[in-house]
Amino acid sequence: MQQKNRKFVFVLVMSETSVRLYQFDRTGLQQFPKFNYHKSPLDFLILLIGLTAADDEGCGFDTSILWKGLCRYMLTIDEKKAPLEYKLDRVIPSQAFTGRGTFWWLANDVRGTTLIIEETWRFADQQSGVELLDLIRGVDGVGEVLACEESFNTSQFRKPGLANTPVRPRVRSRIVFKGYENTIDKFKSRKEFLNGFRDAVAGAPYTSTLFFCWY
Amino acid sequence: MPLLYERELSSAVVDSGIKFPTSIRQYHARSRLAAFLKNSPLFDSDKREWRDIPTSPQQGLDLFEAIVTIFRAICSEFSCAKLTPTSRPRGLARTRSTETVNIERSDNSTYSLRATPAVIFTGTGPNFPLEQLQIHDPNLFCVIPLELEVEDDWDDVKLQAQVFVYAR
Repeated sequence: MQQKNRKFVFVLVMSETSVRLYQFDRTGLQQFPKFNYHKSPLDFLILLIGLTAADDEGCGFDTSILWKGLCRYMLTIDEKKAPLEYKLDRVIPSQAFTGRGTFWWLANDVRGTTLIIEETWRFADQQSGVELLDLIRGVDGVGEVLACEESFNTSQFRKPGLANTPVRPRVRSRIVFKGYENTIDKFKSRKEFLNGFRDAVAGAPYTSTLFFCWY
Repeated sequence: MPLLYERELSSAVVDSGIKFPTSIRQYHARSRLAAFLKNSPLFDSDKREWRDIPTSPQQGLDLFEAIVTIFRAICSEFSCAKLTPTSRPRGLARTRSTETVNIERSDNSTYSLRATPAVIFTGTGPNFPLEQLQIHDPNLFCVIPLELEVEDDWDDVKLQAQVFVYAR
């Protein structure tokens, strides 16, 4: 997950007699039974060939985030839901492994416009953040949402039938916000600081309602 | 007070009940796999054991050479990198030279959790940084971490915590 382009991670553990596969995603850990690879060599071969033959997507990579030369790019959608590639600059990652795992990417579109892209894993049975953000679209003092995309459900990565376990599946949500110059602590004048502070206060009632619904 | 990984994993561990994910497709007929086992010098069909795997390793890394030999032979025999149009060759890199380096201390763990696995399957291509960037963190090139453990030291709870750190 430190790679910042993972949907899930397989981890293999081997001893002189046993092998066991673990799979982590934003809902936690799915562990497969430990078995003796001397006594079950066919299963060992299937496991090993399957893991090494699987492409990056099959090994848990989110292939919409990719390296090109020295830069990283993200393939997502624009405000008209057309596919668009954003150049990624910086990222503020989540420290927690399980849960929402929110990442904030500072990005640029083809015109060089600065954007902020939020990636987060909400519970699948919660109201979509896209719908909630639509409610406050255009409100003064609230960051402008340009595009939203929802993809991947953690239940896709798990054995069918495990959906009835206490683990609630999560859906990956990606929201593109209009970028603003700087954080409030980088103000250039007292007026700029007061304007930013005023906008934050004016937008707070809307966003607090939104986040109450969302979290 | 529960540790960080204990809090995160406490209610989030599920036993799949199957040996490996259904997404691990069976790329070859069992008859071909059985023929490989019968003919390969790496596997003793009579004793039903992989040859050269140390029977009493002192530490997990003692298994490294034998396991790498088996992995390379299997990948070569079954052309793993060519089984799907989008597959890419996987490397296998030894990333830890001793059992005691890279202890994770960030969550005041009572366990000695390592931050780097013994071995990693590495990848190349658009999902990984270019080599020219000279990034020295092997974790960024990791596809699948592989931990080597001595059977007598195999502790499920401790291993859950350890592999959790690798995945994180």
